[in-house]
Amino acid sequence: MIQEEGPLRDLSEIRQMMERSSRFLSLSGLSGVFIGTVALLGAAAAWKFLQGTESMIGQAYVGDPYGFYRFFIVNFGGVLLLSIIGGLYFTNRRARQKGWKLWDSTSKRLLINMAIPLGTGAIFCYFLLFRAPELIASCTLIFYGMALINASKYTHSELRNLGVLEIILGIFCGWFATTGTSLLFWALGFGVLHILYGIIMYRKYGA
Amino acid sequence: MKSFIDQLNKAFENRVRLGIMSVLMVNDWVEFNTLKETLQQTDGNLASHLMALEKVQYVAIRKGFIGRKPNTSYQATETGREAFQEHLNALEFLLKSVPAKS
Repeated sequence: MIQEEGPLRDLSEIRQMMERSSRFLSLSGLSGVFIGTVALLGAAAAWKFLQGTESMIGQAYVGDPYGFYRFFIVNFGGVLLLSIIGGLYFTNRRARQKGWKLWDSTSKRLLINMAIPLGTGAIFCYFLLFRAPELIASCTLIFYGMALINASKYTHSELRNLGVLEIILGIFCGWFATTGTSLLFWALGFGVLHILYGIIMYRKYGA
Repeated sequence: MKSFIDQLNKAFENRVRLGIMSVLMVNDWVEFNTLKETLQQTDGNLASHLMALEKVQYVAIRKGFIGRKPNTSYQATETGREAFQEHLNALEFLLKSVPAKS
């Protein structure tokens, strides 16, 4: 009896160990839904701010650069901060439910590999802020997509597809940067895609 | 039936050793403490199994220091990887030859 069950249990345990030691699996689908919602709210606020100038991020910038900077730093800084807090909260909750650690070699590796493209993107966006602010939305989507693709090797591999979609939206966002639909692409990428992916992950892996 | 069981590697008879090799197959150098957390074993238990694997040269050991604290990392050797892969194949073979339980 034991000899029959032995190999099956061994194999499933081996598979589990291999996955758990090389990938960070505590990412929660709920955090995706939360981040997506926050991003949609941020995009809505930006839409409201730009109304009248009908999207022309460049125009809003030329008209009142100080107000423009202040609004965008407060708005998108707020979105970023809330996203990080929310993501950490739900991920920590899931890790605790599973009895896993939030901070171990897998989460460390995941963060480092996300931080390289994200940090590069942040610096590049800073350059754009003074030269071509209308391209910032596109730039954030593209670098975020690349960060996800890079990170997907160290967590649920589905993140890779999400990254590819973000890059595609980022390219469209850049293509239409001066037409006013760029904010729409940003909202699709950071809002709708996150919520969709959050729901998919939630249904696949649970809370 | 018996012959398949004979193919299973004695060095991997223990679950802790199976766990160690599983972790080392998919990671490069792994620290002792990481292994301890992943496998949830006591220091002494883990150390003795690591020593057994080291003896048959399935794992390589690297000793270093972080500040003054000794820090030991492990890596699966080529022999170890081959042996583990053969062990997995034997396990799979064994599973296939056993009729599925209802």
